[in-house]
Amino acid sequence: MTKDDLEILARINAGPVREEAREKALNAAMVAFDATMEEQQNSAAMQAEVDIDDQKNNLQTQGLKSTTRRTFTINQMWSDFMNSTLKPAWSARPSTLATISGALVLPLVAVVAINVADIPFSNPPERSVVQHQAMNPSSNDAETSVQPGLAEVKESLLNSTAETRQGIAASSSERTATRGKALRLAPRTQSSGGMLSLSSKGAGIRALDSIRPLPVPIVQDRERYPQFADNGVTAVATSPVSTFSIDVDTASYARVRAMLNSGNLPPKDMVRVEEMINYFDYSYPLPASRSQPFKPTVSIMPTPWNEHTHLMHIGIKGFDIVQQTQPKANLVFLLDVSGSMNQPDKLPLLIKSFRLLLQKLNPEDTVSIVTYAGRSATVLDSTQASDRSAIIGALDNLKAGGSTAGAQGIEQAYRLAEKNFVKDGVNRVMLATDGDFNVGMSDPGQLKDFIANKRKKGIYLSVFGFGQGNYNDTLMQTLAQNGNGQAVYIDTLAEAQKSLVEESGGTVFPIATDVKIQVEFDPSKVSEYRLIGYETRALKRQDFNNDKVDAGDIGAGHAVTAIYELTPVGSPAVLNSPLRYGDAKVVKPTEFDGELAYLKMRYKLPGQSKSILLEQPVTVDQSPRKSGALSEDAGFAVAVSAFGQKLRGNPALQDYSYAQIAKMALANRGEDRFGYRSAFVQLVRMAGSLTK
Amino acid sequence: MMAENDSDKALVTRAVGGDRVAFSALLSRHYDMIFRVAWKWSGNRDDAEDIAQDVCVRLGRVLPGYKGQASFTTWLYRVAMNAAHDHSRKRQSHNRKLEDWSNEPSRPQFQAPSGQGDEDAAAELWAAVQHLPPRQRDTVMLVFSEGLSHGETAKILGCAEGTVASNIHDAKKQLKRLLVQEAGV
Repeated sequence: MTKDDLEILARINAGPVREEAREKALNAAMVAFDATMEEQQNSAAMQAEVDIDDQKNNLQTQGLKSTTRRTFTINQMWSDFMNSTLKPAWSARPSTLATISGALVLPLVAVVAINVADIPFSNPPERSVVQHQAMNPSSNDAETSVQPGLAEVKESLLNSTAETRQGIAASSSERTATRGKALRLAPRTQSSGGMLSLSSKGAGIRALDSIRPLPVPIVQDRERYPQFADNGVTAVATSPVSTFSIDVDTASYARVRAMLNSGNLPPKDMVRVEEMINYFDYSYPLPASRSQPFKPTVSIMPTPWNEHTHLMHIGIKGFDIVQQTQPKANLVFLLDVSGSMNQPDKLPLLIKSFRLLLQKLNPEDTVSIVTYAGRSATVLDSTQASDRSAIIGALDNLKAGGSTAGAQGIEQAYRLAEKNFVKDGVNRVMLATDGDFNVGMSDPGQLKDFIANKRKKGIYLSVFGFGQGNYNDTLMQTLAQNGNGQAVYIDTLAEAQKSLVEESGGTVFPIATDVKIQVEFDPSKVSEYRLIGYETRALKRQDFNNDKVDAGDIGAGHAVTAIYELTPVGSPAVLNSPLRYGDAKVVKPTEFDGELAYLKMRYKLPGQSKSILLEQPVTVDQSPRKSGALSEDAGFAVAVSAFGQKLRGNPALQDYSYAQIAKMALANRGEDRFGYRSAFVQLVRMAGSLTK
Repeated sequence: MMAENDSDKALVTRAVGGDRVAFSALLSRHYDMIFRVAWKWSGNRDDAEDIAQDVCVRLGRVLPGYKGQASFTTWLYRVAMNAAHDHSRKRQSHNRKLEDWSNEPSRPQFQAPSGQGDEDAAAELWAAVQHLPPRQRDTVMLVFSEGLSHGETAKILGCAEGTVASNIHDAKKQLKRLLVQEAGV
């Protein structure tokens, strides 16, 4: 091998850049850049808040409202600083004013300087430093009350640099805490024009919320969602039977919420209407006896967004399992501790969430913990829930690091679950990940089969998603659906409380498996139907009676809702023209009354392989028109369905506004013990303001 | 826009301070180079696009911590190579599973851009280079494929120039063995 031989490597070359890929990469980078800048600012701002609280009394600033303080961000602080410090000349102001604003601004800047000091920066400002008299030494009212430590920081402010209108760099002197490291921070371009109004008395200080930068839609490129089209309107004449599997996943709602809360409308495919509806608990009637695990309740109501159609609402509620009768559980936590989990909304939240679940377990239930990162490891062998300290100790010791090798972890987790298998009990692997999950097999299909196989042996899988950025929604969905489990997205501790504590029954203990719904419509009454949501859950007509075909499970206490939009025969809303060669007699409009459809459900009791059939006719007598007031639960579910459809841009909801949806939700909020429904109303309003 | 005429250094300084326009200009300017390195290190478009995007995202995350001792390009090479390595590690564990499945070892392949028919020898050598220890592989690629001097390569790899030379020496010996092995089988 000579040097010349290696020279031919110069001939290998890359292909041309695809503009699309470039654009995607740049967008993703901008998102990361903004997030990083914001994080820095937020961490400094949080500290600043605390500091303001500490200093408040000392500074004697009257009229500094606590609500205002909470909304302080660095952006505002910079704006404040810029407006009060740099633009108006200090000397031109009355000294009382200078004292107050100086005293206020000082701790903010000082804290920023200290906080950001550990981030290594270089390229210190080379331009000449504009000297600022940051404090008027002669006005001592405030200065004397400032805590002693601040005097040192004040020194650094004396050297503060004003560079551009937006950029400001404080280069610190050798003697200060920042130890000569230059600090530069600049507000984002949108955030200029911030306002701090100081009355001449120096009493009223108002920071306006409106000066926060307006949210910019983010393209979350690395996230993957299954893409699907909305269920279309189906003509009963050609296709009278609708079949689907129930779905108790809730992940979509939490993801949509996180997206909206960050000021962005969710991408269409993130919104799965049935998961949004099923996020909420509904108190539909329970069956008379516990021998039947759940029962469907059907009601017919007018469609809020279309006067010419009706909604058929199917509500299903399962019995809750009392903790004493809870079957013995063998749980294996399979936790992602790869480097990407090292974010406050990931591993720390995961640990707290799983700690919460422990309180719902019986002493003899067992927990094992497998982690996966660069390599998978059993952190905790099967341990009884009574030994809480051992489990909590293992959880608290988790550290994020390394890359993700999920497949080995999954195999190991299932091995443990098999080893500790509880006959007639609950055997479940609970996978928690941020979704940057390397399946390690040539396609997700293999992993899917693996999980489906284990499901047949009685080991189920639930998936808990954390964090944003590269969440692989498609994979999480596939895994949970094949593992007879739920896919839950946890973005806050409150969400963990909801899904792991309040609904632990449903999350952990199934009461009915492979639950399928089939509805046959009477073509003489119903001209067209449209199933709202469940696009990814459609089944073939013949699958309904085939017990080998897998479907969703209902957990203890779960409520499941399905809603159809029906167009009565003869309604002006009918989209499909009648068939020329169809059955002529059904074309004539009939009274929308009596029996409209026939509902069939199939389910298996856990561990059984033969399904049980439930059936009942659906009659208009179930309409609130006749049976009294529409239940608030059904009304609320309809509002959620409207929201989901609108977010997906469904043309049916085109003329129905977010404000109307919020109003409908509010009217049907009911008791709302945990405030989830009120939070939903807020979310709808937020979406409304984002689309304006 | 003004940003386009500014030096890397000026843009970096502004981006570190939070200037989005400067950061965006910096990325636009260097995307092609990032993509090229990504392709040369991974051997195909799909991976190259993934890696290049990863590099861009990493820059968004870490630029505020950029120390500015090395030149920006040197630093960019490091970030890009690290991303390529991470990607290939993921790829490898993926391939191991594939091998279990198919009983056939997967071999690295260079997917030459279309329209270049006479590069078989280069692609073959590239595939052999992929079997070198990472350090040697990076050295060989930087020196021979990117055409950098030993000095520049040393800066990127954070080692002495002498180490670059000895890495190349070792790599050549290894490659000879690899290629002979291949021919013998």
